[in-house]
Order: sequence, then structure tokens, then C-alpha cells
Amino acid sequence: MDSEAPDDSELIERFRETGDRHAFELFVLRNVRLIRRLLFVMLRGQRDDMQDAEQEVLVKLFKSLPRFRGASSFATYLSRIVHHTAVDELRKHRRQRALSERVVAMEPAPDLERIDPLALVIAEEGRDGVIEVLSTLTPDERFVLYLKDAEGLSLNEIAAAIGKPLGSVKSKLSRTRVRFKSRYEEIIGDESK
Amino acid sequence: MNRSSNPKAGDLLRNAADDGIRDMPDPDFDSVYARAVPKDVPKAVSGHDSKAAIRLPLLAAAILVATAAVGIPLRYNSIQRNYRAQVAGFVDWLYTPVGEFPVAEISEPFQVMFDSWNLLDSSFDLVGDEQAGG
Repeated sequence: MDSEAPDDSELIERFRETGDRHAFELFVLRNVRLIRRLLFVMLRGQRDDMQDAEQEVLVKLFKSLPRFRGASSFATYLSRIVHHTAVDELRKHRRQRALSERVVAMEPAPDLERIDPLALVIAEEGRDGVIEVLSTLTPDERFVLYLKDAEGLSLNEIAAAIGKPLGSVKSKLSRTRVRFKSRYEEIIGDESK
Repeated sequence: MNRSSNPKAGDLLRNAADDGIRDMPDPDFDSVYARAVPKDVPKAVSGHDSKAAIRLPLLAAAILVATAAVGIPLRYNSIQRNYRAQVAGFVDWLYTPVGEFPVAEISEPFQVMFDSWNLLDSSFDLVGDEQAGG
């Protein structure tokens, strides 16, 4: 790695002090994959929604980055912005989404067997299987699970990112892990039969 | 970042997410800036100018209110004074006995009018004499 490349805090400092857009762009390009992965999880891989939300996240980042003082980690800071934006995005599509979420998330496990067989064929790939399972979780559940198990954030950071008490995050995480495991095994098990 | 405490689920999720964001185009910074920094905002409503745009009408309103606050009572007092003077004069005239009416103060035009009445009186007398003699 180039030892002269400025780190994230230096880029933020430059952007804050001089409004250097190049510093902002560099910071974004370094972190855009994290932003996109989080949006992927929150918006269950819907590309159009992800791109709209990404634009919104970057606008918020541009406006709020000069006020970032490092009280939390970058990951927490970005996660918080992504979470708020994705929740807003989900609200925008609440009506059309609510129906499918209720069908998938509120129904007991046997209902998964009634899903179109074609969907199960598509779910042969791991990504689609994961999306399928993520769809059975609430936005907060999938965000907590992903931040903890895939990005490795601490429980305190996750609590700060989603604005919930630590205890609530802990119980949500343990509950979601069990659900994720059982649902994933169901789907993958069905596929392999 | 730290590694996952649940490697299997974490790897599944991470791989799915990495796969899901593949081939996404680079961020469109131009449209980010266009949305984050509004352009073509009229000067009168932006920055310091917007303060001036607010201050001017406020100043005009303050001047109007101050003028009204001082002028209306003054004008009202003046009206009141005139009114009182007229009423007092009328009352004086009303209660003055007829014989004591200040004739000396009658102006010259009235005096001329009284003199002409005297002439008329004498001419009436002449007419009367002629009728009596005829």
C-alpha cells in the first residue's frame, strides 16, 4: 500500500477545511463497497432501489461529513447513514413491499414450500438463497445480522448505527441467527432434494 | 474490521453482498453535487443578501409603526382641542343675555349693514309722508 496515501481521517479533514471535492470522492470510492453491501442487505438486492438509495447516501454524506468529529468509527457513521436512508427508501415502497413481506415473513415455514417452484430453481445460487432468507427478516434484523456476522462491527457500534438499545440489539441478533440458519437450511435443503 | 463471530453465516452474507453489488457503475458525483449544492439561487434570498431582503421590509414596517404611534395621538389631541374651543364658544354665545351681546365687537360690514337699514327707515318715512299728504 502506498505509504503516502492519505487515510480516511486525513481526507475528511481536507474536505472539512477546504471543501476539497477530490478528497471527498477519494473517501467515497474507498468506502463505496461497504455502503453498497449494506444497501444490498437492507434493500434485498433490488438494484434500482439500491442505486437511488446510494445517491441519497452520498448526498447526505457530502452534507454531513464536514461535521464528522470522529466520535464514532467510520463504519458506524456510514452504517447509520445507510440505515436511515434505506429505511426511508423502504417506507417509500411500503405499500407494494408490505404485501410481499407479510406473505413471506409473517407466514410460518410451511408457506415457503408454496413459493413458486421457479423461485426455488433460481435460488440454486447462494446469493439468491441468501436474498430469499433475508426477505424473511425485518430490515433491522438483517442489518444487525449482517453488520455483526459479515462486517464484524461490535454490538455497541451496531446499537449506535441503528439507534436502538444494546440489549435490544443483543436479543435481536441471537433471535435472527437462529431464524437465518433454519430458513437457510430449509431453502438449501429443498433445493438439494 | 474484526472478523465475524459467526463465520459461516457471515461468509454467506458477505459473499452474497459482494456478488450482488458486482458491476454496479461508479458513483455519479456530478449529480451528487448538483443535489447537495443547489445552484442558481437568486441572490436576494441567499446568504447575506437574504438578510437584507428581510431587514428592509422590517425597517419600513418599523418606521410606519413609529410614525403612527407618534402621529395619531398628536393629531387626535389637535382635533380634540379645536372641538373643545368650538363647543366652549357656542356655549358662551348661548348663555349671553341678548342685551349684553358685545355689539361693539361687531365688525365693520355689519355696521355698514345697520347704517343702510337706517337709510331705509327714513325713506319709508318719506314714502309715508307723501302718501299722507296726497
